[in-house]
Amino acid sequence: MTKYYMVGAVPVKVVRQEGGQTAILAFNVHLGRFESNSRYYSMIRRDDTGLVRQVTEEEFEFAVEQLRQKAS
Amino acid sequence: MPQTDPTPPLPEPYAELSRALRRRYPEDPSQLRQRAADAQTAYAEALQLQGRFAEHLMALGAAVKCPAFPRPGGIKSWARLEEKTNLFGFPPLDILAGKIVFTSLADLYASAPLVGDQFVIAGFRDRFLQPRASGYRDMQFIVDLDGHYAEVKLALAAFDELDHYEHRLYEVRRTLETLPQLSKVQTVVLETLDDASTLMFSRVWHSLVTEGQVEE
Repeated sequence: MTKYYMVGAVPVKVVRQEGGQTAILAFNVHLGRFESNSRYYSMIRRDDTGLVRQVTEEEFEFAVEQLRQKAS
Repeated sequence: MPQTDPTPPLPEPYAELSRALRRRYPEDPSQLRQRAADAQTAYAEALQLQGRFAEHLMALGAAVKCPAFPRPGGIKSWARLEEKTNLFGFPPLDILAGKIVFTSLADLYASAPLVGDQFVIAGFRDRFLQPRASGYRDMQFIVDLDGHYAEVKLALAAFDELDHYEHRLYEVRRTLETLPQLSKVQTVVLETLDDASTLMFSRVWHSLVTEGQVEE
């Protein structure tokens, strides 16, 4: 199961894998690809900033595409 | 969130003062962004403004007769600034930051309107009225220094003291958060540490209110 978030301006997806592993992948606008970053686990679970927003997969993909275009 | 006694709300006289401040400063800090879109420019601005910010913060502390503390070192470290900018996709508002520490909520609320005498206030959030998800409570002002945003917090001594211990839990969490992915057990450990810190803040608040230390 995958959940999609915007943390500030950064698209982040939380992927629960078979076997119970959790991977957190954040889009790196400078590299144009997703990178693992477990820092987001607590930030998303317990948002202290008001900057975390759960989004749909479509909203998420749109945000990633916008960032890709901005970077290129 | 761990189950504990219901967290007592902010006593009503303070809640009313808080609502008055909200009417005066309607902007929530989460809606504000540094004018500088990149960390390097924001850092350079902060470096230039740090003396003036500290001067106003100390003047505010003197006016309210409580200790004022600029961020240690005066400015957020470059490493931490770069990390936070990468995490959120824009530079944070607390590159320049400071706090005034109060021993009573009555003094803190009486002093809150004076922040505007020293600073141009751009954003306000009362985390006694609406605590952070972690349970931490303070009053946060985002102030405007020639277009650069900085943070001024009015803190309660008990939370400020507890924050030092909570930081130890944070350090353990950070160890796990360096891992590329988390096992089931590791997520349980992370969540339990999060819940432990929330419980600590909740209990401190509970004791302050029920033991009358938050005098009205």
